[in-house]
Formats: sequence, C-alpha cells, structure tokens
Amino acid sequence: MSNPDAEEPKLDKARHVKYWQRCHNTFLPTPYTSNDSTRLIFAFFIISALDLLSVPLTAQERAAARAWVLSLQHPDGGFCGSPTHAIEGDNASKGSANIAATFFALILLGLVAESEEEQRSAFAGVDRKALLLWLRKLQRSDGSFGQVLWDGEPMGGRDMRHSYLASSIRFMLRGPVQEGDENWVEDIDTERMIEYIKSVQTYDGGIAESSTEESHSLALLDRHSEAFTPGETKRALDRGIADRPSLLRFLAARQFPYLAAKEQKEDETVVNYLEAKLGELDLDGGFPYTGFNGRWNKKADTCYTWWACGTLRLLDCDSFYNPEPSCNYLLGITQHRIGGFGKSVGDPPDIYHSYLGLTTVALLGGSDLKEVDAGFCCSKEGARKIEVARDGLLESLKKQSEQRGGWEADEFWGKAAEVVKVK
Amino acid sequence: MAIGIDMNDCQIYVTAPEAPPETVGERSKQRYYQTNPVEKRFEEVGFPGLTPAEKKTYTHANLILPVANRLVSLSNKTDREYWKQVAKEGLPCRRLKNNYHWGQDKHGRDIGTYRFEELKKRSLSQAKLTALDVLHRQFLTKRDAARKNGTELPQEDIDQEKERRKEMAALKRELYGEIPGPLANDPEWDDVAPIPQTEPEDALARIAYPDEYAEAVSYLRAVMASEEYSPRCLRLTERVIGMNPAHYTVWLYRFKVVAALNLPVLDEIQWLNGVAMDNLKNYQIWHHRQLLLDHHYTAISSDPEACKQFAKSETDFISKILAEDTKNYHVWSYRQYLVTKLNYWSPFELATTQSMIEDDLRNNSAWSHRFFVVFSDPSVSTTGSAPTEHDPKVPAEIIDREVKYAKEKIQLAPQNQSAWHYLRGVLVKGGRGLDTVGEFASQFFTNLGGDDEDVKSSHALDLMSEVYHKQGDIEKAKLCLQRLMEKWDPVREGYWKYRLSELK
Repeated sequence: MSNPDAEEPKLDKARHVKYWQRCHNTFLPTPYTSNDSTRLIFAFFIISALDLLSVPLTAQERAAARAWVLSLQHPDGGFCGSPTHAIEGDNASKGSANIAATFFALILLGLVAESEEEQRSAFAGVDRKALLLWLRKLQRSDGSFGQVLWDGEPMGGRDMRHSYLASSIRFMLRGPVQEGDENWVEDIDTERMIEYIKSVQTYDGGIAESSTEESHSLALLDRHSEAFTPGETKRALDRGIADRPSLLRFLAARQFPYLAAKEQKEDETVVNYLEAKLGELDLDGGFPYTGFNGRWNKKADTCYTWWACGTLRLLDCDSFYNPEPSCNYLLGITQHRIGGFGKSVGDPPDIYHSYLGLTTVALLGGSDLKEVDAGFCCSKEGARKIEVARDGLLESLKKQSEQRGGWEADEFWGKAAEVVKVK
Repeated sequence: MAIGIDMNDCQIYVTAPEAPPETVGERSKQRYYQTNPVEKRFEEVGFPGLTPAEKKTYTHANLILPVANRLVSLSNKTDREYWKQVAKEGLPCRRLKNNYHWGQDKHGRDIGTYRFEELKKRSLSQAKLTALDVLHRQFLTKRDAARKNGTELPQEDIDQEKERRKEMAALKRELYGEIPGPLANDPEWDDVAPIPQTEPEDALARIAYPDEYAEAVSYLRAVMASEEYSPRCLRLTERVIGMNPAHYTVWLYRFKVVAALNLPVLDEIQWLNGVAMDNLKNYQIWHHRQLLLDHHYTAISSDPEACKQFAKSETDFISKILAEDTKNYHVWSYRQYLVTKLNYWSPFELATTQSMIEDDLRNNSAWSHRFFVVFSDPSVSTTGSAPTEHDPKVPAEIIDREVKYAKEKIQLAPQNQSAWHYLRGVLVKGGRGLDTVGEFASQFFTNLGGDDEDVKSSHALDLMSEVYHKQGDIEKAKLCLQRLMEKWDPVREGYWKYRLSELK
C-alpha cells in the first residue's frame, strides 16, 4: 500500500459486481442471522448497488423484488423489516412495521421500475393513507420519532435518523394535496419536528439523540429539506440547526490524514485514531489518505466517509472535503479483494459497509458509477423515479376519487333521468 | 437353466447358482429372474432364440397368469384340473415384478444400491421409530384423558416423553433428514401451532438461517400473535435473543412478559448483564434496560435509599462494561438516563469522568458525560437550557473550575480535539467570550507567518482566528486560517477557505 510506484487505488468494478450479484442470487451466510430484522434494508443495498454499478435486472427479477417488498406491507400502514416480522393472513396486523424498512421499501419500489409507465405505477399497491397515518402515530409529543409502534406507542430511541426517515417518507408519499381533498391525510407535526432537531445540538456542534449526549455524525444526515417545497427548504434548514457554524466545524473535523502504514500495524485495542504530526506531510511513502470518523478522536470507518460527505453535500458544503484522498482511503484501505468494502483496515466486507463505501465512491465522483443523490442514498436516476412514482400515485388516487365522485354526482343521475325521459 | 418352485412358500431352487448379490437392488433383480423362469434368456435371445422346452415354459408361465390372478373364473372341476397341471409343470404363478423401486434416502441415494447390512440397519431404525411412535401416541392419548379430568400426567411420564422425542428426532434425522427442532420435541410446546416463515425462491436478501432459529422464530410469531405472556415465552425470547439480539420486537415482547408476570426486575437485570457483555454493540439491550429502569422506578421512587442502592449497582455494572469498551455509545446514553431518572447527581459521577479522562485524554465520551454531569445537574443549572446557550444559573466557580480543568488537559495534549471543544462548550455555558482564553490559546503557537513559525495546536489557531475577528483584527484572523490551510491543517483546506470567505 505504501509502495511509491504503486498505481493509484482504483475501484475494482468487476469484483463489486460479482460481490453484489452473489448477494442477490444466493443466501447470505448464517452469521447474517443477527441482521434478520433489517432484511429489507439489505435488499435495498443489494438492488441499489447493482443499480449504481449499472447491472440491469431482468423483468422477472424486478417483478420478484416488487412482489417481495409489497408482501412486507403491514395492513395498518408501513413496511415490516423482514418476513420474520410480517405475518400472512388473518394475523397480519400482529406483524410489526418499522420506519427504516418503510423508507427503503419505497425507494426499492422506485428503483425496480423501468419504463415510464412502470415508474408512474411504482407505488401502486402502497396504502398511502394508512402509511401516512401510521407515520403520524410514530411521532412523540416532543417532536421526535420512534422506530415501531408497540401497543399504539412509538418505541425505540429518539434517534435523529428516525426524524430523517420520517421527513423523507413524508416527501415520497404526501405531495401537495390540500386539506379538504379526499386524499388529504392528517400530517405529522413538522414544526415540532424542527424544534426537536434544533434542540439536540450538543456543545461541540454535533447532533446527538438528546442534547446532553455525545454527538455522532450518524445522527446528522437529516433530510428536513425534503419535507418541504423548495421555497421552504432553506428556511427549514436554517431553522433546524441551532448553530450552523459549529455544526460545519463538527462535520469538517470528521476527517483526518489517515496514516496507512502505521494504522495497519496498530494494535486493535487502541481506540483513538493516530494523529499525524502537526505540519508534516506524511504520505507514508504512498498516497494521501483521508479517513473519517463519527465522533471526536475515534478511528476511521468506511461508513463515516458517507455520513460526513453526504451531510456536507446536503448542506451545500462539498468543498469541505477533498474527494481524492477520501476515495483513496476507501479504495486503497477498505476495498476488499473479493469485492465490497470492510468497516476498516483488514476487515472482511459486509453488506452495510460495502454499500456505503460504493455509494461514497460514487458521491465523490468518477469510477464509472451512476451519480448519487445524497438524500435518498441511491442513484439520482433512482431519486427521480421516486418523484415520478409519487406523482403517479397521487394522480391515480385523484382519478379514483373522481370516478367514485361520478357515481354519486348529479351528472350521472341527471343523464339517467334524461334517458328515462326520452323513453 | 431349469427351475423348480414350491408354490406354497415361494421357495426357490436354483440349479445353476449365480454369484451372490451384493446390493439390495441386485438381490431384487436376481429374485425377479428366479420367480420369472426363462425371462432372462428371453431378454438375451428373444422368443425365437429359446429352446423348445424354454419356449414351452415361457409360454405356459405367461398363460397361467389370468387364472392365477383370478381374472378368469373357472368351474370347480376345471379349476382343480388347472392347478394340478400347474403343480405338475412347476409353473410359477406368484411372481415378483421387475424394477422394484426401493426409493431414496435423505441424501438422494437409491436404497437399491444399499448393501444388506446397510438396509438392515435402516430397517431396524424404521422399526424403532414405529415403536416409539406408538408409545408417543399413547402418551398423547393419556395426556388428553388426564386433562379431561383436570389433571396432568406425572412428571416422570413427561420426562420419558421428552427422552422419547429426542430419540425420535435423532431417528427421523438419520432416516429422512428431517430436523424437528428442540421446541417441536418438547411436549410443553405441543399446544402451540408455530407460524413458519414461508418465502418464495426469489425473495430478496435471504439468509441461511440456522434451523433452530427458524423454529424458534416460528414459535415466537405464534405466541406473540396469541398474546401469551408466560414463563415459557420468557425462555423462548431468550432463545431468539441468543441468536438474533437485534430482533426489534422480541425485546418489547420480553418486557411485556416480565411486566405481566411481575418478575423481579433485579433478576432480569442480572440476566441482561450477561447478554450485554456478549453483545457490546447492541442497541436493543440498553433500550430494554431503560424500560426496566422505568418499571422498577415506579416501585422504588418513594424510597431514596433504594434508589441510591439501585443507582450504585447499575453504575457498577456500567463501569465494568465501559472497562471493556470505553466509548460505547449505548452505555453512556443509558448512564445519562439513569442519572437523570434516579436523580443521581453524585460526586462519584464527576470523579468517574475524571479518572476516565486521565486514562485517555482523548476519550470524548467521558468528556461528553462530564459536560452532562456538570451542566445538567438541576441544583446548579436551568432545566431545559440548551448546551449551545448561556445558562446564568451555573455558578461562576463551576465555570472557573471547568475552564481550569480543560486548560490543564490541553496543556498535556495540545492537539486533543475533545478538550478544546469542551473548553468552548464551557465558555458558552458561562456566557464568556472566547477572548477570555485568548492568552491561553496564544501560547500554542509562535511567530505566526514568520520564518521560525511553530504551532503546537491547530485548534488554538482556529480559536484565535475567532478571537482576532471579534477584536476587529481581520488580518490576524485571516493569517490564522491561512496558515491552517497552507501548513498546519491542510486536510481541511476547503473548510478553512470557507472560513476565510466568511471573514469580513
């Protein structure tokens, strides 16, 4: 890795394709049993990675993905995280829908739609009304969101990611339906949501589950922008962050020069990243690597390159990081020989880090991958499909209610009366 | 080849012995030929190739079949004549059919290829299984009868049945590759119809579940659906948690069972300690603990001594787990929850952060906890005051103490991010400007922009650029950022550029 003559680290696209095809076509190994509850998220990772790599799916595969996702829909709204949490038949309501699974289910439905017509009907079969009402029940009185409903109560941490998922789901399904319209559904409390997000910034500028807890950048990637029409976006962004300068400092500080040769030798029990000597350009004899961590002083981790850079993209601060050395870290340090990415140096690949590693490489540009939408964490093409799907859904709902209206409206009976008169 | 057959017991006399068969299939084949005279010769040479005697035997042997099989009925007299003739010629009227199919074993192997001893073993196992099945059915009948009378069978019978099912499971596995899980083998679960997970072949993200997991989850789904809260359910959740601690509803269900059965919280916590130690990165464990804490608190809230004791035992365990993983997010979060809930704002908490920071100056979790302990203690702070805002209720001595503490630690490691951000946080809380630490920060660099420029802390430069800016010295503020960008912290070049652009 530190050979000066070595070629610059590159994305071994063919191996990533193989890795993801293997994930798609065969069983995930038994150790993934402890991820059983998040299978829907893994399904999204698999399909979306193949999308980023421009590997087409057959019509049959796309239909199968769609059918599988819809089979996880909960009768009272939302999607269950895995067949383990979904029950068929009479007991279906005893299953349990999950906010993260719901977010990824909707994106997945968009991703596997190909033609314009498919895209417009990608959300057909989604019970929009039930889902939005369920989402509303997940909101707590302090504005935060839970992960699942349990005995009617939102359960799970006050994780900032839940707010992010909630606002994105709202964006994907709600649309500009006005109150009074048949398809209008009572909304979540966006004001309280923003107030909550605002309230959890910590003393170091970061965001935590509550303001007193330690900040970590996983909590940050909030997507309030998506919950609003473009005109409101900036206002919401400005309002959602109590102290923007310190947030930017926090995000910029997540990166550090990664000392490849030294870190590799490092004992696993060391919990802090190795500090480069101040003012010295230490390339380890090779390339500059930039690692990212999630909290102060912690070690580099593949997924935090995504959380930091993705958030900076949403905040319009792309210039805060240097794409090349950041990519070098992913491609030269955590990219794995068999395809995929590991968590950090020497780790075997796993689905989660493999996906976020790949998406980050795509986000930072180049490597012959599709362009990435930081908000949806999938290709821009996929993000566009989701908007088409939403518009298509709203249109078909509108049509349905018009048809229903037609039966009851005077017009129908008026015509019937005319027919009778003529006779 | 001449063959004589005794019609009564189908015993076979072979005049020209063949090599003895080695497999079950070979023996069947041989027996077929033995009971079907001339058939082999017929296959080899066809009808025209047979000798006249063979032709006669072959023809007669086939001709007698309709009568032998009662397809044609004869008068009594003719019938007697017929059998007389058959006996005289020694014709085989009971014959084995060709290509007997023995079926396949669990590996897909044709049982016809078995050697005799293999078949014998298999038949013995089958017989054993049949016998056990009879006893098993007896058990079920006896239990039904007992339950009708409102009683249960003696424990001895149940234990025997458990043993029996284990044996049956082993036999079924051996014979048919069936894997009845341990729950199906336990009579205690007989009344529950598991809800297994059925998935199409093309389902996404399929996992090679261990059989025991698939079984346990199918029972879990059943008892959750029927809303059963019983001791056996508690054991079942433990089983599922052992294999998948991130299962998000099994924990909520477990808590419900604990609450419904009114089980002692301390026992549950004792159990949880072991699970937590084995699964350091798991979130659900700590959420469960938080639910237990809330539940327990309602029982002890009026007893300050009990609260204190509980807080103490909890922090003892937390210390143990933090010794394994000093920055464990879930553990620190729970610790805050505990302190707030039990009002445990003790000097002990502050001392803990102190000793952990001394162990590792860069342990940001410990710094963060310190900030919480100092600035959220309701006796010296305003409830609900955000960490990003001034809290006038915090006494000046406390601000002084914390500023001093942060400064000491910065001296020990000037490039430590955690201590610098702590210092900034304390100043905000105290409503003091960054300029109040300007002199302190300035000692970490010399001759900025000069030939012999030296910088011991990039954080000091960052802070001083803000101080200079506030003091109206834009040039100096710019110089700090410029030098960070060019020399002392180039990894954040883009950020420093942005900061420069914000300076006016």
